[in-house]
Amino acid sequence: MVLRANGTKTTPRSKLLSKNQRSPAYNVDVMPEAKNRATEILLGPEGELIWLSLLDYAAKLARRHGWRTGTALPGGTSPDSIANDVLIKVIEGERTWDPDREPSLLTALKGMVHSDLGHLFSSYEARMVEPTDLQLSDGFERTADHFPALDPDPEMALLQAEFTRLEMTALDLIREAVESRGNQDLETVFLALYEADTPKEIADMTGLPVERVYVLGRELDRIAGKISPVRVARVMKERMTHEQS
Amino acid sequence: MNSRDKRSQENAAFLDNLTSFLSDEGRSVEDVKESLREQGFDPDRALQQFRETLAEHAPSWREKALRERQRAKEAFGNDRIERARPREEIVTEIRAVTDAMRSLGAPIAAGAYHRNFEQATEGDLESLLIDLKVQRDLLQQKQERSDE
Repeated sequence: MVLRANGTKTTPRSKLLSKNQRSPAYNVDVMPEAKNRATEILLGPEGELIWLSLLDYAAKLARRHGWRTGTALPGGTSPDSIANDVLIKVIEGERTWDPDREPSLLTALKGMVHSDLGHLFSSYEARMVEPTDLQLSDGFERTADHFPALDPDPEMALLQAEFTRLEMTALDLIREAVESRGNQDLETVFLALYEADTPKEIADMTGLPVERVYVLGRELDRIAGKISPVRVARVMKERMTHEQS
Repeated sequence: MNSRDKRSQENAAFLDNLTSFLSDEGRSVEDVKESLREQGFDPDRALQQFRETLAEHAPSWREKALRERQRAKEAFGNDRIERARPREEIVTEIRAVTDAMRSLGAPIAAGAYHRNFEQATEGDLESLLIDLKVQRDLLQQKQERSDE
């Protein structure tokens, strides 16, 4: 857990990157050689795979943030506009890839997308904070006195509770879909994700061949693709209504 | 930390791991394309966007030259509407541009552009001037880059 600048406690963003991505390899210094090298790679045979992988990452990371906040990308942006913006900035030298720090251009670009999406959702979360003093739907006048004395920031506590419920709902929906497939290997990979985040680590941990882990990853991808942030928010509200009645 | 906080952290870590796992860099192009389709993207359209971005922001020398030529042609078209230039003025400008190109190191044989232009129409001369200006601009850009 880390404390954000806006006071919210959250999982470190670095955890959203795989282990070799956790130190974004870019800076604002001018590095013309790296800029030219990046452009050269993008124009070369690997360029299209890099771009598609970056777009795919931006979409999945936006969905991950959405599972926490219950919303699609805020501010009228889209995963492709975020990824495209990063690409242009690197080509034009506004953002610089440092190959000495991160030899993989794709990993460096993912770090930049990760940073931009993080900023976007942080601003959105800051705007979502609910006021402490509020008249609830049943007419009850809530004030700061109605929150536990030890909680330093009741508004944040409310927001965090909402985020926790959303994440729990997203996880429940994924688990239910995995279990409905009746595939034991798929359930094994699903459980391994509590401890690992790469196909190699999961293969080592579970004893499944890494090729099999990739195949099961595609199945999980299809499942996760159907769990949109909007759907998560809707299901969470339905479940809360059901619990209250 | 109470058990609820712990569970909340575990859930968040799981969703982070899942996202990393599903974005693994060892996947093939076909796997990535399939994944994009699952998320509602058209990979062919995405690739088209990528090529357009590269053409706009990382153009090859050929794309740069074509763009410069198009720009110069448009400027020429506008200029022609405004006024018709005297023939001597175009010839003088052609000579000035070729001199500038030679000073930038272009291998122009002496007299190559100092031929008798009498047989060429004004349109031919303007067109030649545009091409020469494009070449001069590219030479200048190359020179500036090497000076950096």
